[in-house]
Amino acid sequence: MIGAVVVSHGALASELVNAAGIVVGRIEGVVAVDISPDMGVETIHDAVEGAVRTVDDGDGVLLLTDMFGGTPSNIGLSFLGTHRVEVLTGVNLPMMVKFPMIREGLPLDELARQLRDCGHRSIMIPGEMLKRKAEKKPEK
Amino acid sequence: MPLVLARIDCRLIHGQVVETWIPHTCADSLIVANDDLAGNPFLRSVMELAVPPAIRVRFCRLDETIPALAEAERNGERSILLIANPADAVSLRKAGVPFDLLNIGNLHCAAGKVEISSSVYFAPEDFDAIEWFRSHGVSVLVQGTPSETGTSFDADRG
Repeated sequence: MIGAVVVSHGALASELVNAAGIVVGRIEGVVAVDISPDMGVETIHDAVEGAVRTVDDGDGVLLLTDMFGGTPSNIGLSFLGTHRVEVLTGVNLPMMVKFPMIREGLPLDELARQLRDCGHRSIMIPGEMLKRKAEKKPEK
Repeated sequence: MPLVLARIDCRLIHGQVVETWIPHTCADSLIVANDDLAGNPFLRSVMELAVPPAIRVRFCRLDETIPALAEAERNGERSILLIANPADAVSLRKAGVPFDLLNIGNLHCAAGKVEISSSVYFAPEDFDAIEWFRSHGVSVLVQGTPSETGTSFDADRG
């Protein structure tokens, strides 16, 4: 089973995992790493490496980071050469919710692509959708 | 089996239903039996927005539920019936809506209610409704998501 490590500035990672658990139930094989401003690069690296080891059962690990270009992401990328990981940046709640639902049977790279597309699709302006719907089909 | 899940959920259509119960039951239809929503087109369209296009959604008044279920059955759909509270569920069962297992996913906390699970709180009248179900052959399972270990109130089989 593919594992996941969520890495973020502040407590976003822990709370994303908590929030996803409320929607789909407790998710197996997921660890959150919260990065506080007082942590040095080496400390963060060790924390992420420990987390990866915890959830890696041989199928690989998805590193979900909060923002491309940020420290969690930059440090996550440093594992690409040494561990069986894929890095996915800009993690949001819809991606976290989708992860346990689709991971079975997918290789790591394909899982990462599908979750990226899910994240893209999940950002919308519902007010615009409602307006379009109302224009198409006026309510009786 | 046309009715794959009967669920009491004060939030009706929301993330848990769309992301877990629809795939878990392989449902392709949601029937929301609720008198308030049936009369509120704006709230209906808001609630419908997040449902995948492949899923048919029907909103009906409580007294329209049997025809709505019959229509879904004629179309060969697998339906999830969503009900806002235990009192409405009792009305539906009395009117002949066929379910022997009733799921309770969300009943919000309020003063005087008793905690059954992290998302389900019973008022005294809810316990009465559960007793009514048990004595009429309906088992009640309090379970927010399919992976959650539920709390069951089994039907009397005496």
